[in-house]
Amino acid sequence: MKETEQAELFNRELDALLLEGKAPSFSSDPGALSLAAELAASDFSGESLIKESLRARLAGGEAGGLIKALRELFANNYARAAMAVAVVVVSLLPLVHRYPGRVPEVAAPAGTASRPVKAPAARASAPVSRPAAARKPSRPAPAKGLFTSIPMAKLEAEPIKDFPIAAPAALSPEGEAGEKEASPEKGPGAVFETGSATFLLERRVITPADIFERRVI
Amino acid sequence: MTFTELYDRFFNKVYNYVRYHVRLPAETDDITGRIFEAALHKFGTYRAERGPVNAWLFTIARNAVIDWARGRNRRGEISLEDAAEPASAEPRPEAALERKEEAGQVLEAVAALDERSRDIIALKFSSGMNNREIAAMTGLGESNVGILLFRAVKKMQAALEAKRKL
Repeated sequence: MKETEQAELFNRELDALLLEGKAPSFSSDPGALSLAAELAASDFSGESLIKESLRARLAGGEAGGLIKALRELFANNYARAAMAVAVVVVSLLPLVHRYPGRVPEVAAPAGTASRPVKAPAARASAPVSRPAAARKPSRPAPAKGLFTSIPMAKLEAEPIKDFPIAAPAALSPEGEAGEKEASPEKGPGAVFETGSATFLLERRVITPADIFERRVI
Repeated sequence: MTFTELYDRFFNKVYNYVRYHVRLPAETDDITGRIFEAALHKFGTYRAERGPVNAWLFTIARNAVIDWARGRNRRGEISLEDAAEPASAEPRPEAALERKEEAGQVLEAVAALDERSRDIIALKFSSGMNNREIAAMTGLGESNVGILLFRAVKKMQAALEAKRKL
């Protein structure tokens, strides 16, 4: 008999032994099967000193799995450092939401502070096809550099200025909107009268000296 | 099945499996403890439709034993198979002593096998898995597992007979 056949037969008998718990009445190799039965019956677990204590510990761990997992997590230094970084990042998140895209403050040159600043032209690279409704309205960022917002309390404190146009009664007794030819001192013009005010438009010849001031340094 | 039920059902089997690889009971306790801790940690991920629970548990056990063996080799420790078992100081009754001696001889015979044959013997006689399941776990063919098992038993038989004749 070849070894393969012997092994096949032995394994069949062994499976029967393990399944039924007793050796078959007839065996092709009683010595080997007897040893297999001895191995199957061997139990070394009586030597264990931790069986009960480990059971109690794991049963406790099964109940408080989350607490144990957290305890194990904080036992690791790397995990502790990562957790600290995460806490710092999360605590700083509200500041990021409050000042989205905040430009770092740059000291404006003294000369430009009093000059009117031209509004920046729309960028050519900006997405043109983007629907206006899809755009998220961004809150104006309170920048402290070139532009400053005036507090509402300060605005309210200022007195209301008079409208610099004469009252309609003085110029237009009719009080109706209309256009009249006017002859002002320096040239022809037109007077527009509305219900509430009169506007004087005059046409006259001006020179650069009328507009620009020449200063001698 | 709860984890406690799993523990009660498989502790002895897992302990025996480890014991076939590790001859010191204290170290066997340590490895077995680690196996069940890992099993508890992964218990939520076990899916019955993927395979029987004993195959799942013994995969963890086998990995733990492999890790232990690798660590031992890395540390350059003396093989525990070669280390003598510490003698018990307490006097024991005759029958218990005989049983212990016989169990010791069986363990010695298992320890004399090569790593792969020892693993197959340990899986076959402690896990309750059949040759097909062992083949799937070890990556061997089913018939190959049968032949290795037969050869290992014959080798152990010869060693034990020689020892018992002395």
